[in-house]
Amino acid sequence: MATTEDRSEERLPQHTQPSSVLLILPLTLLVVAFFLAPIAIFVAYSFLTAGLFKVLLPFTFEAYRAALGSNLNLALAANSVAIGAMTSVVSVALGLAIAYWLRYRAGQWQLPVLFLMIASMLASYLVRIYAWRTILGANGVINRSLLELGLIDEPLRFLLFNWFSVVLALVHIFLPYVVLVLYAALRPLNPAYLEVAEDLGATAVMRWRRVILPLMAAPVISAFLFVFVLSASDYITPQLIGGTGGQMLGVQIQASFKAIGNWPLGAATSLLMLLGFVVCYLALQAGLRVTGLDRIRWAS
Amino acid sequence: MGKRSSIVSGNSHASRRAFLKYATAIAIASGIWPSFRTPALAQQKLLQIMTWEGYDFPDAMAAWKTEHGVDVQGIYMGSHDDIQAKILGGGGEGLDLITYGSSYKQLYRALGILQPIDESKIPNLPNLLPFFGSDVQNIWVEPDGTRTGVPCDWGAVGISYDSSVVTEAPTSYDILFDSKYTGKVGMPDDPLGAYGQAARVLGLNSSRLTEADFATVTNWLKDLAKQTKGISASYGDVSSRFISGDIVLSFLGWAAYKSFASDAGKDTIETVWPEKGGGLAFSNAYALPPGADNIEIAYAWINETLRPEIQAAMAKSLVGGVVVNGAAELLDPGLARLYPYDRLNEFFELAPLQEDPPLESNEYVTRERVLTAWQEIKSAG
Repeated sequence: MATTEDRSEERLPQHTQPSSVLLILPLTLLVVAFFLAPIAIFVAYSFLTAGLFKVLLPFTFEAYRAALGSNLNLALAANSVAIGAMTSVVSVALGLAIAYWLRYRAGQWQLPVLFLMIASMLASYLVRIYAWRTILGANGVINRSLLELGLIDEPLRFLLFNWFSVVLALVHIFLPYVVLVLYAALRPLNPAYLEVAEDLGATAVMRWRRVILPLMAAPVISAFLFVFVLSASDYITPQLIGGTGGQMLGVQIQASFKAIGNWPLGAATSLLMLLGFVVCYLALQAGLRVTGLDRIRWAS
Repeated sequence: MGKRSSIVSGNSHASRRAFLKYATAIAIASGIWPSFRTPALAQQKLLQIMTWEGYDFPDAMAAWKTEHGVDVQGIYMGSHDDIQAKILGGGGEGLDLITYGSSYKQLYRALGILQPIDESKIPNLPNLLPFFGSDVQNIWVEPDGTRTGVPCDWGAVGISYDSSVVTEAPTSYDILFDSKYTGKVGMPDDPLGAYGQAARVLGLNSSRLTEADFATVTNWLKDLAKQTKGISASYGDVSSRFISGDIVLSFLGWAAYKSFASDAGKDTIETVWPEKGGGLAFSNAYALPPGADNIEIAYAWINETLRPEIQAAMAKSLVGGVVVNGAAELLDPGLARLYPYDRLNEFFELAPLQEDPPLESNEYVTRERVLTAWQEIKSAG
């Protein structure tokens, strides 16, 4: 009978066998073709000279100078970060509460609610945005109800076409994903942990602060980043319900590529945005390391 | 092992190998099937048109498609910029026909998107209304006489308003700045149209804006943007805001809003072209893109669309204007009143076809400057 070490020795060489390389080759090619190659092209474009809907030699930093020197870009980037952060915080806070309820309190409602969460993801993105226009608009459900109840004399116009409506629609779009991620993370959390904490005198707030949140730190950060990256880079929602105060950097990137035809500027702005996301990721990872939350491991 | 890999169907057992064999046979047969279809289907000709949704005229051109055995595939654009993005960015292969707005002529000429059109292949071409036949702005015919576009429809924008709220027809663009309507004014995401019309209101020409003129027009548009609750993503979006009651007035108001709103049960949307400031006209035209490979069918399609009966049907489906003689008489009364066909030349004085800023110039502000400034206006709340 082989010992554990013997088995390890038998297994290790298999990773270097040609069959292993062949198995991983299709995935590697996909990543190279559809992720690394486009980014490499973007990098190259961002250093080329802009022509009208084309790129020219020589290589230059002009696109980066223009992207960083634009006050509009800076304002839109700040708006993107603010809207992305608000969307992420609200989504994660709501998602965590819903996931906790589903895991420990929902009982027989667990499966139907999970099903509804997944079903809501099947609705078209645009349909959901337009649904919010129907709800928040001057003749929308909220305004008509308030008017009929005599609570207001004129429709409330601050509900739509501003950053608030953008955040609301984005939370609605991303919340199901956050709930599913956090629910999956909570699944292995043994209810006995919470019972033991309670037996030891921990209040509900303490159980959240000392048990659940430390254990959920890494999944929460993942969910936060997922929502932040997608919402901060969105360019459709702001155009439909953003108003003048809800515009974001993605709209500017789209304009550089499609309307203005300055491809290097679009590429440079995109890469700067990507760099911003990488910095956010590294900062949050560093935060986890500093607080020691990255070393918490599940125990069965 | 055998049992685990078998598929149970009723009382019979089929092995996985047998299942795969039949499945493969069915898959292959499905793939081969198209080559054994009826001769008529096999000879079906394909015409790929990149255009706005509805400009492939599924109803108006149904009989022609059946008669000529042509299968039309419409590739719809979300914005006009999709055309150059597709053709220049790759993916334009196989396109046989495109439509371009009159304001994109200058850009598309520079980008080499518009190919020469052989007028002899379009016998109905002389049927164009005088205005569309005499191309003073070189939108459809180059100065050297080479035709690159064939107009298919037209329309005009002015001030649209909800007559249930704005009870008197606007006589000036000043009404858009009335504090009564702050937050209730619409404006579509059409930078060149916005600069074109704003320049007209201010007595300027958007194709020849000096730096000082440019600043004046930009400030006027920024002030107007503050009257809105955000620039609408499209003209259709403005229509939705009229219908939902979010706006009661619109800059670059499209005459067709009346019909769109009416279909949604709102009969109070009107459009006017005030004496001071007037409006802007636009016209879409068919063109052959680079690499078009079904050119004969494309010519036949263009020719058919210039028949009065087809033009009337097209105008009905698009809520647009007709471009050939004899078509206005075939329009429904409501559609015939949309534009004044009995005095078109006079109307085009009040609402001329849009002229755009130059692509390159040392003297005047360029198209790129205008488009870049528009992004600031969009965020000028």
